[in-house]
Amino acid sequence: VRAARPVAADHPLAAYLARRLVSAVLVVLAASALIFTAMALLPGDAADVILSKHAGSGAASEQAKAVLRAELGLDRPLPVRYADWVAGLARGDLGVSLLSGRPVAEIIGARLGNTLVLAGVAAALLVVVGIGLGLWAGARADRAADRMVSVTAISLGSLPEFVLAILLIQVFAFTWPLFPPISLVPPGASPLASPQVLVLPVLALVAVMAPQTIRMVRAQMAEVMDSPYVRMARLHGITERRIITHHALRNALAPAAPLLASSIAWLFGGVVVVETVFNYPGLSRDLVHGIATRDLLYVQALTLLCAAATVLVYLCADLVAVWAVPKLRTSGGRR
Amino acid sequence: MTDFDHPVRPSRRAILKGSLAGAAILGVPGLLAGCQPATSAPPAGPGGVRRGGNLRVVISGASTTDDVLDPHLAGSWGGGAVAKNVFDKLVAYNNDLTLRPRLAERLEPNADGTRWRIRLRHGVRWHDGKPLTPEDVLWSVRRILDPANKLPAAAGLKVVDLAASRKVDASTVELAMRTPIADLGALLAGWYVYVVQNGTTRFDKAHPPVGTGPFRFVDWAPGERTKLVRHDGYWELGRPYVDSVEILLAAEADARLNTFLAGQADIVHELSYVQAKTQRSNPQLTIHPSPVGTFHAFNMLTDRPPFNDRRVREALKLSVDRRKIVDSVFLGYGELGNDLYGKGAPMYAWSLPQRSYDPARARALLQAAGLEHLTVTLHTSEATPGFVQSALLFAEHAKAAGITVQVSKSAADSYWTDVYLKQPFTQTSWGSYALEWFYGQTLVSTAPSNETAWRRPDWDRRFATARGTMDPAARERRYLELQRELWEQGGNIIHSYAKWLDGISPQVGGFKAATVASDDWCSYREVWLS
Repeated sequence: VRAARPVAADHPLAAYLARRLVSAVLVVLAASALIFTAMALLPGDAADVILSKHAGSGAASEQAKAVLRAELGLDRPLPVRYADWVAGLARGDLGVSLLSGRPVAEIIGARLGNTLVLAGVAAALLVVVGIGLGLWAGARADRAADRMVSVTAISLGSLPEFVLAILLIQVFAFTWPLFPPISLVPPGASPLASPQVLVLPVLALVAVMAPQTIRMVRAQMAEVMDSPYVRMARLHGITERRIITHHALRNALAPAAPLLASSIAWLFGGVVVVETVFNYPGLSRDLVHGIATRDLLYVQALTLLCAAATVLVYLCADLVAVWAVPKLRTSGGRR
Repeated sequence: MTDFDHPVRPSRRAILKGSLAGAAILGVPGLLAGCQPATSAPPAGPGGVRRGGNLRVVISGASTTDDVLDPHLAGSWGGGAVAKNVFDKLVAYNNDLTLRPRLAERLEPNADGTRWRIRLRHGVRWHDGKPLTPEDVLWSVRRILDPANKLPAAAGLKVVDLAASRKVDASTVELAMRTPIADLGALLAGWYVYVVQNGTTRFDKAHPPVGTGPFRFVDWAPGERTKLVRHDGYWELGRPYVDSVEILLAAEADARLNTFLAGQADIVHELSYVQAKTQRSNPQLTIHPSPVGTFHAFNMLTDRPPFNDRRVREALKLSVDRRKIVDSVFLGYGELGNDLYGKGAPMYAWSLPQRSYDPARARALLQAAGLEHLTVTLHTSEATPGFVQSALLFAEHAKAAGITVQVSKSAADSYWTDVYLKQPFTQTSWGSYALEWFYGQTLVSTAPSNETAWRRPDWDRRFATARGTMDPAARERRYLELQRELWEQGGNIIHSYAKWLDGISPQVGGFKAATVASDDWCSYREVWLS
């Protein structure tokens, strides 16, 4: 009887999704412990930073540091602090910044939108440019167009981010003043309200990330176009266009999805250089500063958010792969 | 030089050098009245000044996590700029680190410098309309000194005995000192010592700062920008000239310059030396170097070998080619250091000879100490621009004296916590303040940042005597002797004073190049836009 059959057998994709969601939660939990331990292992703590040399103060005595540590709760045993933090997270309480005393949720919230917009626009462009050029070049493997795309990708990909960013500023902000060299976003407004500030940062990010995607997709596409089933399709007289769109495309895309996922995850918390050069008000640079100043609760909350975002992006990438290649679906997602 | 401070400084000098011992009067009441024509509708103003407009400036600052509005806590450049324009100090530094009156019209010590009367300016109003009172001043000092608040200025003001201090009348406060102090003003002019309103404990969005300064706080995005508007009831007649100020933060020098070049800022603070050089020919950007710079030094812990031998310390001081460092690290935007703090400040020992680069003499000193072919490790980092380049140049220069300086580079973010004060040979850089402030921070035996392990009870005693000596000439002699000992035997190799560089657009008028942390530094009350 149908009703008696387990859901998993009937809906392999749903079972796969459920399994992946459970493992995602476990991964994020494990990440929280890892992040907490890593922060605890760093030399020095917020008490050192708060009482260290800055304009007019001076290094503090060990006694003053001990008092401050007790006040910040940094003198408690690590497991107690971890349990405390996780319990707070469960209540939706991220705590307060050790340096300014402002709520971590408010600090992250003020810039989350900016980071999501920059990451979203860059990711969308990356998918279009990376996959589009990769497929186009791969379908023309070893022809002039392919060589041009490959050489350009390799040259761009070998430039460090800050060089690319500065080059873009020089050319598109000063030689031809088309876009602002600096991304000032009025507080509380979305960067989408002044899209011109996104142009150069997005170009810089895509120029950094696209080359590896292009090369990956191109290689897959070239391989697929050379495979026996495509040759067979050609022999059957199917048009080249139909071969690409109906037969080659999906198989070329599946392996590129995880690579795209890693690039997109990086957009979320790792774009320090681009944020610094354009003074873009995103999360990445603050994260680095937070680590340097040992602002534990802030760094822990933000890295956990990054970890969650990474897990989510990879999950999406896997689902795309499963969608693209039917044989992954029928085998219940086991690869 | 404005009409305002021009008459003040000569009069103060005259009084200090004259017979009025024990009464350092800062400024003359009613001085302002004759200087400025009454305010009138825009665009009229004194001396071609134009009123109105929104002034935009860009400077480095804290990040979203650690930016604060509390003027007693804001240690970043950007935080200091906000505090400067929202609040006022009792007295503040001129560019030469002499004092100018602000909320205090006069500071009057008793005969032995143990009690100081602060006469408050009349007619000063807070942004909420309340008048400035002695209670506000006492509250500000109490808040700074309260150990529970852990405020950085507590170290500077700890000479104040709050329990014995009091309000004298409606416009006079008397502060009691724990030890005689000849120049309380030098401490009251410190970076953080702003007057806040009686009873204020918090400064954030829910509790917006209320000051007496030329601009009112409107809004801020921490680590990003702060918006201020003109305070119409400001006590300096006619000031400020612009309607509003926007202070933008950018951590990186290129981002700051690009903000300016893109027309998003009228003033760019803190240009790099390379930028100043490349922008020299840009007609849209005028560069203003600060009159006095921040010092850059190598510090030796004088209680650790080989630096516990004064001949070694002198040999190392003679092995730095200061001119080369100023020319190639600061690209000429700097001055030679003479191993002494406070170049340009009152009591600075100008009479001690400038130490020169003399590797032959250094070699002889080391020979006498039996330490030829000395090898030392200098710990550097990118914590402050110029540190690493100076260290590498020093290593080159010292070769001629037979000294091997091994340069060890540490991570910038942990340099101040893990390396500085812990390794025997490190680097440091301090802004310009009064000598006694710096000595209290770094040179007395109990100093919190005793970066040269300079612990000499006799020197401490003589310093305490000097800072409590009311007769200016005698005080100057005592400070000279203290500095001679530091020059001969101290552990600081202060090789250069690097300038702070500001750039302004041609529309900006009334801008004054200023020493870091002085009254004019990042002050926008005199600035106007054409």
